[in-house]
Amino acid sequence: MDLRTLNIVLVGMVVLYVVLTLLIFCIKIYSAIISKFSNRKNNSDNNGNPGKEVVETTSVNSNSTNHGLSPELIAVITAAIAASMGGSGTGLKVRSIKRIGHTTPIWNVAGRSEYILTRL
Amino acid sequence: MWQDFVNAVSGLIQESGFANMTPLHLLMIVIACVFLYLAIAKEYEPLLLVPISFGMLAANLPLGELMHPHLWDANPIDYGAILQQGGLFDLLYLGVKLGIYPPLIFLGIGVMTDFGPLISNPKSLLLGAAAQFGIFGTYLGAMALGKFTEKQAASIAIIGGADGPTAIWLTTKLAPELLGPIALAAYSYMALVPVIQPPIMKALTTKKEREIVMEQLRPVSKTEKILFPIVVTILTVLIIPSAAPLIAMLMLGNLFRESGVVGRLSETAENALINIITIFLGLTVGATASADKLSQPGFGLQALLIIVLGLIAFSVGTAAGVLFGKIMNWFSGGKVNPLIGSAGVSAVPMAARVSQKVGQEANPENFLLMHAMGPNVAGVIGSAIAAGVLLYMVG
Repeated sequence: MDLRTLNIVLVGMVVLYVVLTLLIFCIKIYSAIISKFSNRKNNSDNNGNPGKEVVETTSVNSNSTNHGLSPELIAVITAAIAASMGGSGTGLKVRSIKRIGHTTPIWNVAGRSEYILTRL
Repeated sequence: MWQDFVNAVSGLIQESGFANMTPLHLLMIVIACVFLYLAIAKEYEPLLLVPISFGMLAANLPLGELMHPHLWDANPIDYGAILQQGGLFDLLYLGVKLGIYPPLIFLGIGVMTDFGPLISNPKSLLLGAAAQFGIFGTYLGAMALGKFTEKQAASIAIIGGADGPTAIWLTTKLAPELLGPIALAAYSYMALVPVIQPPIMKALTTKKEREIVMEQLRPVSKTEKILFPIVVTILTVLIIPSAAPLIAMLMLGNLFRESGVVGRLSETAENALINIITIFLGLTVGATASADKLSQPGFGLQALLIIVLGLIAFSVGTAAGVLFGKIMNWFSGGKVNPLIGSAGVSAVPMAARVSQKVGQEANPENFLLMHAMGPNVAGVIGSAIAAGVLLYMVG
């Protein structure tokens, strides 16, 4: 095996690591700048509107508690709300979840269940 | 009258493909049918293997005139003659030869890729780099065998990048005569990731290491995701200009995705465009595996060695990724599961799924998928950079 082959391997790996390490630094630097900038923005928003929530909030119903709801169910409902609202979901708070009674006619419910069963 | 009839029929038979069929043609047709079987019955990368193997089949039917290998073997290539005398596959092959299709496939891959896990944990880029040891290790091996030129060895080594379009792109630039076997080996091994990787991953890690549960990744803001493709393009292309076609198109696709303002372009790039290019690319790459090539002295042995070296490249890449994952685990005080290192070989998202599966076998409550996606997409960038470096050094 000649020196040129070893040189190609050595240079190749070194260049690869150098480029990717530089990328790591770039990502870290711009992520830090963005997070600092967004924190400052949040703080100034808070100072300007002390009574207003900075984060997006969604209240399904403010009169309920989470008794009887498993953490998994709460996670699923929160994820569904975040997905339907779009965006990353960062800062979303679900304050309460309340089961609401049937407002749909029973025949519609029966038809819907039948339809869902055919798809399972 | 009878004589005329006999003459006409015998003329037809003599000018048919049957009369011109050689044993090599027959062998290539059988090989193509085996690949078709694997693609359809076993579902090994069918989206690529069906067009590749059908291209191989159609191009090896004598007198079909779909592809003319001698036109491409000319040095320098007479593109005028190709346009005048070329068959359908010759014309479509222009997109491969001129390096157009692989970057366009990268555009679609860019739209489909979420770099969020990588931005969230940038250190995973190092795992993507470690897995590229497979490429350079195999380059050493291929050169040591003495059966390949420098350019051919580099083209074979890139199979270790587990990235079909990158392998095709580099091979058309460096060793187009080996395009057929290299593309087939690259895509076959990508399909075999779930078979090849787990034994290596298990052999190099302890059960305790495989059980490590990693911390949840931080959420990544939209601005970070939009800036990522711009920063990567500027930095990478300025350092390694030869990687520009692949990196620029990959990042353009990702910018389409993350900007959220060009929905129509994203949709086209990730669906219609990538599908059209896959058909053209698969058909023509398959068509380069012709019986004429097989009849060239030494080609059969070279093709066999490519298959073996490709497997070595894949295995070394997987092992290097896992070993680097172990090093990161030691340095982080046991916070990194080494299994995510194997995903650095690219093959998105299959390699990340394998990390998840092997991790979950050790600890059913372990979810490594998103952690493995970081090295996995880093591997795509890493193999494109490695291809650019090899092109610069060897080309």
